[in-house]
Amino acid sequence: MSHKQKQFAIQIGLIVFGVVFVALTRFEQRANCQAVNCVPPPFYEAPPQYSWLANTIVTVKIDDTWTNSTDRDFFKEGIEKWNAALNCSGVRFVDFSTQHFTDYNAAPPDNTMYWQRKSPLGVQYFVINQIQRRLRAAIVPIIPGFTNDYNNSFFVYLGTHETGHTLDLGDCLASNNCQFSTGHSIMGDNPSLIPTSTVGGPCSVIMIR
Amino acid sequence: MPINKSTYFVLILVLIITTLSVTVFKSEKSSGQRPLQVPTARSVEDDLKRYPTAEYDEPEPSDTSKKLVSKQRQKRNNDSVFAKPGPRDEEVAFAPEADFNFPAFPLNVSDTIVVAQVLNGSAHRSENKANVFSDFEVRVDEILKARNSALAAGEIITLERVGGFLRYPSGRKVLFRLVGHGMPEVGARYVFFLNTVDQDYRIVTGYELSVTGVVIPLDNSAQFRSHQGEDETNFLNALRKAIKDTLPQQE
Repeated sequence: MSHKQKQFAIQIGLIVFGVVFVALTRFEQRANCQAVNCVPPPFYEAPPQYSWLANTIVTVKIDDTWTNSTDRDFFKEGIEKWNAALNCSGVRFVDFSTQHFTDYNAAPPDNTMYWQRKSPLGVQYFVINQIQRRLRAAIVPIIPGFTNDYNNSFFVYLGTHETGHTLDLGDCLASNNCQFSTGHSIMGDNPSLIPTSTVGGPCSVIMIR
Repeated sequence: MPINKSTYFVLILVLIITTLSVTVFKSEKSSGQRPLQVPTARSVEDDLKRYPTAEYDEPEPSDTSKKLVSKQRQKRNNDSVFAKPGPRDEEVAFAPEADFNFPAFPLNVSDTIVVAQVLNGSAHRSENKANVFSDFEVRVDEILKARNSALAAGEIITLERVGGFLRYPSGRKVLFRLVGHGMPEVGARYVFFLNTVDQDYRIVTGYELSVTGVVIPLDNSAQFRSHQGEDETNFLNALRKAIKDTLPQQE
């Protein structure tokens, strides 16, 4: 091989290396959102506020005044969907045993999420550091009058939706320009449009990284 | 083996492109993944400074009329959404379901809209001690919409919002707040969307008319960010037009 040919081969090698390097570094797995045109739900606050620290194991305790174990199991089913989600947070929800609450205003222990039968609907956050605003614990109050409507899917919806709020996901509403009507996100406010996906809807998962 | 100038050139070019790929272009790509994430105008630290502090054992006003008004405010704030903080908690926050479910100009859910300057702020505990709320005295500069026809420019009114710091006798301070709800800054001018409650007003939302002439939303939700950084004059003109358009047309 002549000197000129060697130089040419080196140059081609460098160019191929550059192209492959750029291609590899710019490729990224987009969860399940590659197939849909997402307008994802908004964060409550700029991330990573009001969310569990990465890889937290969260103990879930469910109010025993839901005396029907089937109701509690539906909440559990909804919450556990986040365990299956490829959301990169590493957060896992475990336990799901019942708890009898004598004081509904008491703060939960560390890394614990209470599901309580009380009003108003929303999520209560307990934060150790005001600046970072990562969760130490949370309470999810569910209105006592709620029943498992929508063909027994409402409590599953609530399980996933309210738990999504503990991952800093806000509500997906028309008023905040979120693509709410198509059932892409479990953070939508219409329980009849529950995403068929097992991970809370592809447009929710994309936000949790 | 000697290396040609052209090979050096290709080497340098490849190095530049690969470096840019993992620095400049990478960060552009990351930010592009979250189209709704417009940076907020204020840091968390700045937001926290705006929250007034309530004393755990707040003394009652000595003036009888002020005492009556204070009692009335404390009583109407008895409905608390906050649980008790744990021993290490610095903040207890509540995110109401489907909060801010209204447009950027919430004309239909506000009975009063004013331009006003914040004169002072203070926080208090509710009568049953379960809640913390803040009130702000503001001077009305301009009335854009009013339920109370007696409201006049120059008048000083009191605005109210849930949340505030609570200082315990030990000196420990805990913040109670609704997620996404900001507190107005003393000295700043705002457009306030309000609802009348007794002789006072509750803040629905607001926009700061900053000294730089641009608009900064008081609250954190995507629809409000559409006005962030907007020129004050354009913003007020758009608001006045929106209010006018909602009024019944005269035959």
